[in-house]
Amino acid sequence: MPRTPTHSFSRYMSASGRNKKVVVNPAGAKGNRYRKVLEDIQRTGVCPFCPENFKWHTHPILKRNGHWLITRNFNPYKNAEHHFLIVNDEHMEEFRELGERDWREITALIRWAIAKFKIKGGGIAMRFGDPTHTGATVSHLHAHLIVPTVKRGRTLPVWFPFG
Amino acid sequence: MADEKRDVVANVHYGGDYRHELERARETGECIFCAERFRALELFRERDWFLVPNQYPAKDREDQPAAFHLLFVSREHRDDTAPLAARDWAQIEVLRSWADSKFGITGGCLFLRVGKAEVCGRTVRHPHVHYYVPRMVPDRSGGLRPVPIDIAVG
Repeated sequence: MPRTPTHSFSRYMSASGRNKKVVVNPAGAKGNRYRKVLEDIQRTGVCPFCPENFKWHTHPILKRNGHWLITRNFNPYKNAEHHFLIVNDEHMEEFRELGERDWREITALIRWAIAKFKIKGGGIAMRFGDPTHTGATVSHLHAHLIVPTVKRGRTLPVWFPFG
Repeated sequence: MADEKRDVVANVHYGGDYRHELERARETGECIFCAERFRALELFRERDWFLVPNQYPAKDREDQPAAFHLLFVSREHRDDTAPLAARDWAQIEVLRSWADSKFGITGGCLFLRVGKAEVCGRTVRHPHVHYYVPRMVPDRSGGLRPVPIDIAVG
């Protein structure tokens, strides 16, 4: 049986002793360039995944389906042949906010990417909860579609960090 | 039925007890997730999916098991290479919400592999989704920090 945690995310306190609403989490960034971008965003206090603020994301939107879009990750993980993000155009942070319509739209985008890029295999991941605990750099809910590189018949693993 | 289930394990690249279990499944053709002893671990169920604790939880960077490593498993043994349908996710959400209430979980990571096992790194050829929750440990500022888990894709 899983162990009961001794602490919960909701009781996390920042060093100042105040609970902070976290929109972006530079500490979760993999790479200095991306961390700097997140620190710039943090100073503005806006969510970079909300459509009106999407300017920091320099890759084009590949496809839209309903309220969701798919684009390449600004900062792909090592060994990834492809690293896509699937993002909602409405700001939501909790997994429970997703309905069947969302899953239909997300799934359709994933199937589109698999066909378009002839993807043989990969992983789909979604973090949710306090990003300073999950390692997410942006609290706006989004899914990752990660495709590892296959070189001379051998798959090079992509390590997706969580926490 | 044994012939249909012959190809029940894809990758045997783990060590220890889990490796033994995978090797045994490969020899017998019995799917680990279909076995009675696995189904007996069920914590909660929906129409097509059920929830179990992973008996071999992922280890974090301090080589300790994750606070929680749960599995949402399809009750039906079927093609596991395609992305899940919306109706699957709707049921998984019911199970996940139940787990969150039961265990006091307030955040985590859902993960599933799609496509060919030799590319995505899947071990058991049976539809399933992982739910990871990291351990929280005290940090220097008097708060808590998560101990990261690295999930391999491939």
